[in-house]
Amino acid sequence: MENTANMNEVDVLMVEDSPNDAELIARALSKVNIANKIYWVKDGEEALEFVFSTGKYASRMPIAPLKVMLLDLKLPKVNGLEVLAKIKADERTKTVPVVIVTSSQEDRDLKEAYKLGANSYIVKPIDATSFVKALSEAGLYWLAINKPPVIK
Amino acid sequence: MTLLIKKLSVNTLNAVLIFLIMAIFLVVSFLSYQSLLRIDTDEYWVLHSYQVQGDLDTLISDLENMETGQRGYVITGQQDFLEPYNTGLTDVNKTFQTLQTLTAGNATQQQYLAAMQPLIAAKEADLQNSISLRTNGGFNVAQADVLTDKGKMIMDSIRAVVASMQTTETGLLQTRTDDLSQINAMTESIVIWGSIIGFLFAVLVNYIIYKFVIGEMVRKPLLEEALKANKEMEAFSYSVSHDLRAPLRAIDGFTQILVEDYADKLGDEGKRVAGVVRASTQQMGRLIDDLLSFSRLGRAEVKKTSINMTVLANEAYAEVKRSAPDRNIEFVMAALPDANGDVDLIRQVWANLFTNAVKFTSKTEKAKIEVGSTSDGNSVTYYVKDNGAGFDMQYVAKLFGVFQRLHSVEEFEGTGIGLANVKRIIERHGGSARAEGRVGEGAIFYFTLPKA
Repeated sequence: MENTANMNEVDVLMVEDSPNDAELIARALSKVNIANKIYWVKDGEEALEFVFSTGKYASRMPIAPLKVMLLDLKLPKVNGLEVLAKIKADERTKTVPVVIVTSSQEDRDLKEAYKLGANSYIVKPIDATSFVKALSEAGLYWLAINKPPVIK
Repeated sequence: MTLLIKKLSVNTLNAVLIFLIMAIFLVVSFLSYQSLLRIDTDEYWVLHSYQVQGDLDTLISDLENMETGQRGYVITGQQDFLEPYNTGLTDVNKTFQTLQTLTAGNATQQQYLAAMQPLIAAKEADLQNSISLRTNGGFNVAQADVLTDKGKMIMDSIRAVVASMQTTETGLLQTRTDDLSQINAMTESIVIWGSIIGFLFAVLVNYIIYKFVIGEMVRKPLLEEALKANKEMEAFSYSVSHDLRAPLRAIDGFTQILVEDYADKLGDEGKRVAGVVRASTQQMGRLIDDLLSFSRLGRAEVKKTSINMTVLANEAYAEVKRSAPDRNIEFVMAALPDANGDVDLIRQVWANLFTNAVKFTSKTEKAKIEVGSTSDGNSVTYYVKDNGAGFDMQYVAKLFGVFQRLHSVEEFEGTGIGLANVKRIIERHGGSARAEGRVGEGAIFYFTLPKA
């Protein structure tokens, strides 16, 4: 799966280490016509670099903030909860809606995620139909229905 | 009794008992030592009395010696016969001095000696006088003096005083011997009882050590091992939930992509095959989920509170019925007594039993589910009864097994974990679960819980 979106015009940042899951999520979002504004990063470190315009993404100068971040918990280098903590702790990024998309149903992950300020928590079902339904509905909600906070 | 011991904490109890044993030992030692000291004193005074009594006898015999000397001389007029008189004279004074010293502490005896002193002086004077008369006056004069019996009268008085002193001394002896037997008896009791009690405490200490401390020493490493195994299981389940489901999701998802994007190339048969792949993946997913929740139950904390079972059962049934809205089921529930347990876990029990009841009455014309309870002593038995497919009692043992089913997935869907969960939860509450059924006629599932 290739990133086709312009990194300065991204609405959805998808942080997912599994290419299969990434493809399924993107497919679900394409069903509600938002595939062109998705950017995919494979680990926590890249996610932070993207959000804060550092390292690999130092040249990134977004026009508008992200409308939503789909964040997996089990990530290489920097895990999901750490990414969440850093994003919610920074004044510039704490208003970005973060939706946790993970296989973990463990209570401790659920508790910790909300404690750190996650806006939503979706458990990846095995059944593809439910998965697609959940992601497309979530995508539609956060991009079309939900009003993002005013910038500047 | 066992609970009391556990409550007081084994270590405290042992410490107290050992302290008591040492205390008993110290007390017995101290009391025994005291007795020895008293015995020593008593024995000293007994010997003392014997000495006084002996000296009193010596006093008399000293005086009698003097009499013998005087008599011999009066009869014979020969100086040699005065020897016993001379020895007696020295001895009497010595003996009297000794008696004075020995009885120094006793007022009565001192008074008697004071009375005796002039009498002895008188006796000595009388004997001296008799001897002088013989020396100077000759036999007849001396004889006349003896015949006056004066000597005998003085001697009798002296004997009377000595007799009184002997009696006094005997009285003292009796007191001492009485005291000695009393001490003997007391010391005997102290030593015997002290030993018995000390021994019993020692036995008790050993019993406690054997039963609780050694038991703990054996149990502790076993407990640590069990906890370690539990932790490993947790890590294992966590990894299972994540790592096993991801590939399953891929299989299901990408099969669906095939169906959606390559529908014309697959045709009807291709679509059916894809359907089988998807259905199998989803079944496997359910099995994994159920296995995971089953294992979580074993680790779950049981937070006990008082539960309104009527409300809880109704809630659980409503939830289950929501996923089968088109079904027409007669639901009858009597008021249920409160129970003591973990609300979330007991809710799962009701949910599982109702899911089964609803599921297995799906082929019954007039489906009916009944809920009730019976109570006895300190536990309550709740039951869920249905008139569904029922089961053959010969397989009742398998009913609560993990992933054990008596029907195929085609007849009734499911993984066979529901009743295993029920059993596990109820057992963790200290209760029990059982079932009765008849093929084609329905089934009743019972579970007992301790009273609220």
